Amino acid sequence: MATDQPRSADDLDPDAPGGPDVSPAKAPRWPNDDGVRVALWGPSGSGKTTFLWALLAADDRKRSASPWRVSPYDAEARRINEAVFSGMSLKGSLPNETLALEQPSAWILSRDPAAPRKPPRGVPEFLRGRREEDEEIRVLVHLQDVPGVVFDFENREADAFREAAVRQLADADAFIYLHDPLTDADSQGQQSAVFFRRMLDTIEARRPGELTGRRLEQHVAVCVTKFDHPVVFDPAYQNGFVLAEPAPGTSRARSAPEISGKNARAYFDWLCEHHAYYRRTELVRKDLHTRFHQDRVRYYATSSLGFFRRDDGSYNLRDLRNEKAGAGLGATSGTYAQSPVEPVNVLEPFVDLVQAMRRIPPGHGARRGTPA
Amino acid sequence: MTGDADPRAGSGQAAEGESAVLSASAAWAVLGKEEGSRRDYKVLSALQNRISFYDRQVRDHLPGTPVDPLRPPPTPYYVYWPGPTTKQGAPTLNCSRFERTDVRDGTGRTSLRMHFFNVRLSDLHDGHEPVDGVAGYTDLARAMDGAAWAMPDDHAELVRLDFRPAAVPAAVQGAALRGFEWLATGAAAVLAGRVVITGAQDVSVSDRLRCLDAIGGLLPYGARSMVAAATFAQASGMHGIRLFFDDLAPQGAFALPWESPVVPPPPAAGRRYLELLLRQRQTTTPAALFTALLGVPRPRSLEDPQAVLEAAERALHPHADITADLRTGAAAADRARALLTKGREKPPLGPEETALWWRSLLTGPGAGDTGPTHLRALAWAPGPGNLGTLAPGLLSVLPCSEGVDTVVWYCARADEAGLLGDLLALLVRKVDADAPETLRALLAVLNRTRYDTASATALAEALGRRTRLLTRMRGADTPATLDLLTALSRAVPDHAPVPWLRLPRALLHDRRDRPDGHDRHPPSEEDIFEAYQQITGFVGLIEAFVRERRPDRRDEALRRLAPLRRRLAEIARADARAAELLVLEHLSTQRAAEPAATSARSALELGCTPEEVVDALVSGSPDRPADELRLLLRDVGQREARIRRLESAALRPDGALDRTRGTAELLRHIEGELAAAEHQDLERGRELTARKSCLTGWLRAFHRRSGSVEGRAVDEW
Repeated sequence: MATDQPRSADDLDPDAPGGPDVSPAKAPRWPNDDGVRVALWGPSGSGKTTFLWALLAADDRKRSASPWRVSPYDAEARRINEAVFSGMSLKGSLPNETLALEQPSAWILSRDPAAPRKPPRGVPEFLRGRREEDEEIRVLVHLQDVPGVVFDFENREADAFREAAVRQLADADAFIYLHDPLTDADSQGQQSAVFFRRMLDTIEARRPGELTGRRLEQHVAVCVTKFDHPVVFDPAYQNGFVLAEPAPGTSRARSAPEISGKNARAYFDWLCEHHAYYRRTELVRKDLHTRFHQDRVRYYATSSLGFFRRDDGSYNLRDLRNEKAGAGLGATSGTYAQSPVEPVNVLEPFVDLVQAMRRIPPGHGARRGTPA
Repeated sequence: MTGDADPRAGSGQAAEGESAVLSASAAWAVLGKEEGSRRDYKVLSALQNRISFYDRQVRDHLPGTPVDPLRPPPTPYYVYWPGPTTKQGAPTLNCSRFERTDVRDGTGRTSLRMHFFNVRLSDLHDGHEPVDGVAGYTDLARAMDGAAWAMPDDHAELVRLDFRPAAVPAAVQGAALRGFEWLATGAAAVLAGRVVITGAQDVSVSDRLRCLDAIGGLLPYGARSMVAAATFAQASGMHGIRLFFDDLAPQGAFALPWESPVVPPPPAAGRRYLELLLRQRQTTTPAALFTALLGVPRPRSLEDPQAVLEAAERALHPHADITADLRTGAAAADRARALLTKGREKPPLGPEETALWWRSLLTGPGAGDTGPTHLRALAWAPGPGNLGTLAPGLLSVLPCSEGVDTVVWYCARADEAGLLGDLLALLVRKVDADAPETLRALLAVLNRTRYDTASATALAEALGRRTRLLTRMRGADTPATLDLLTALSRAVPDHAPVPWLRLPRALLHDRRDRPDGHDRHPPSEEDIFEAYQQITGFVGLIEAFVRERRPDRRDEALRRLAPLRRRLAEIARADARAAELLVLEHLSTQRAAEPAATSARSALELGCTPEEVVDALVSGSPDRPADELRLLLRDVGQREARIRRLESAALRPDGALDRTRGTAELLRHIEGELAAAEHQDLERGRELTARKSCLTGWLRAFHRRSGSVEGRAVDEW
């Protein structure tokens, strides 16, 4: 059995993928059901897994104010849900980074018509009438998280690994695209452009004839992330995209700042077109405009951890960043949320995408989201 | 490993009961994040900068990260999986070690770092039989702990992994952690698909490794080497890891709860395998099971559970049907040899079956492959009825490596049975006197064996009956022969009928011990002649004995022997068999002016076999043979005019013996002269023909010893 020859540095066959009988890692697959297939998409560090966690934490925080609820459907989802509750909700912990491809997790998005709803800003509650959406809804949603290396096309070494992920994402119904302004703009632009091209190629290869006018069918929620970070928030606030009500002469506000849906699209356009620092992200905007049906693209300014809320319940518009480096109660990888996590625009894009999928009229693509 | 000894504590002397430290050269890579970078994990450095290649190696076997960061499994995480074959076709094993570091990425979070290694499977084996010296998961984890601290700066440099190959002890410790049925169920389930050990969040890394060692140890090593195993992997991950710890088993995977009192049955594909293990456990210890299964090193696909089952059955029941096959002459001898080589549990053979094995291994097909270790492992207890079969077998393996140890071992068993003398006498009677290697080995055996009086007497009597054997023994190894005689002369009682053996002692001590013990005086010539009648070469032995043991008395002893020589010469002339003794005596004394010529002349006159004379001639110095042969020819030539003429040709400065083809030329001349003599005088011709035969023997032996290429010419002649 022993080989007497000393080993040389180049004795491994470069063409050998692995051991002779090793089954390659299986590619993730969407379950064969009517569940809505939502994929998280964003470069490394954009916060995909944190977004998923915030989705569940948002459910915890907003349950009293929102009829929507995200519940685990499979065992993996239950495990995530428990980790979110004990970690992010109770201790401000952030999730571990995603290192490997995983199977999508399964969730139930439900709406309870009996739950109290937060009235639209400026509309007295007594004026709010009953709407047709107030019916009970239960939708099965499959959520695919992937490691950021999938989108890093400069990392040619991961090409083989990436192929499986791209095939999976090509079969998604909707994307939550996390646009991270903190990520190097050049890199993000390139990653996005290449990614869309690869998506198109893959879809064409797998489902020929399904592209309409060279546009992808998927619905997209474009979320500008890290909105609590001063590098992101301050320019948006200074240029009037943010709704905030600070006390006169101060930077303190009683309620959290926000960007409305219409403002969010304008904000994203402004971010891409006019702000010098992010000018190179114009590539992304063009891709989103030219690769997707425009009525299927929605925009949000998002913060998974939410804004830093002071002990008196107020917000300091000059100090909104909630993530803090250090050894906090829930700091497991060097950072944690210093005030309770109250995600901003995390549940909303998720709900909007699922609802949009349910409303696809017959003959306009795969209708998804039949009641679970 | 976390909580274990200092990982940098390197190799050292093996403690008692521990295996020695082995080293394996490993290909390597490091995966992680760069400080301050927002890019994802990638291979940061690798052997020969083959980033892409090593990225492909690791991607499919990244274990993922724990879902709940507040309750992470203990680190480091270790992952093992089959690697690519080398260009020479050697199977390899990939292994990696994950640990969180203080390196912060662009988001400010700390990052993981993975150290990856690739080793040849053959380097994890100590190469000894039985095969318990194989590195297991625990051993490799320790090796990686040490290597991760000292990754090379030079990308052309391989990493050295130091480890103690102790897969079996680790597996035994693992078996102590969990019940055998639990472990066996895990091993069986691995044959059917992915296995997740759940509910083990608080189990240490060390125990996880031992548990993996135990489960893996219940698979044939060749199948185990194809199992990707990890101390942690994310259950929902799309990795190729087949056996791992996590707190959740995904759909389709087999969950093996750590603390569950009831072990669920494995999937159908593994049930027969579980039955085999449980059945075997009733008669075998876990350690024996692990050891047996380690002896199946050929990589075997997990996708064929039936083949794995059959491999395990052969490993656990290696002797099944062998005996029956041996009876029918089928090629079972190879299996039998393999079984005995591995030194595992010996099959329950009765005396008849053992005899069958013995005969088959020594006389059947491939008998030449049977070695001392096989006979030793067979451990056939000597008895009155089997000595006649044992002795030839022992003699056949005697010249092999470990042959002496094996025969000594059997002698010890024979001594326990009171049969040592009988066995030794048989060995002496049956040994081939013309096989110097065997004689040397037999002398080593005889000198290592402790005799009682009866055994020594039996041996001495046997030696006394082999008239040429002692001479041959002395030619093969004089010191060992004298050691034997010394020992025997002390052990043999005075009244024993072996006076030839008592005489050297008497000569040495200037006395002859009479049976009554009162009348002491030096041995007489008659004593020595009497002894000589019993064994040829006796005088030479006495001379050597005296020279070796009493150098201060040498001249005196030899002087005393001088008159004996004259008598012996007379005897030798009357007894052709003794001529050889005469020649040897001349050569051994080295006192005559031309000993070789004298000896040769005697030998030629008596027509004795010249082999040993030539041996003695050649043994002096490399230059000696040609000169000696010239002397011989000159001497012979003095008695035969025709040959003398040839001698003058051979002794010219450019004589035949010094030239290429010289021997053939010389022989042609001799042939011609002999033919002429035969033609002139028929009677004289016959005499010369006999002389020719003798001379041919001389030349053949000369050429064999001196390595001349012209030996063929002699053969043709």
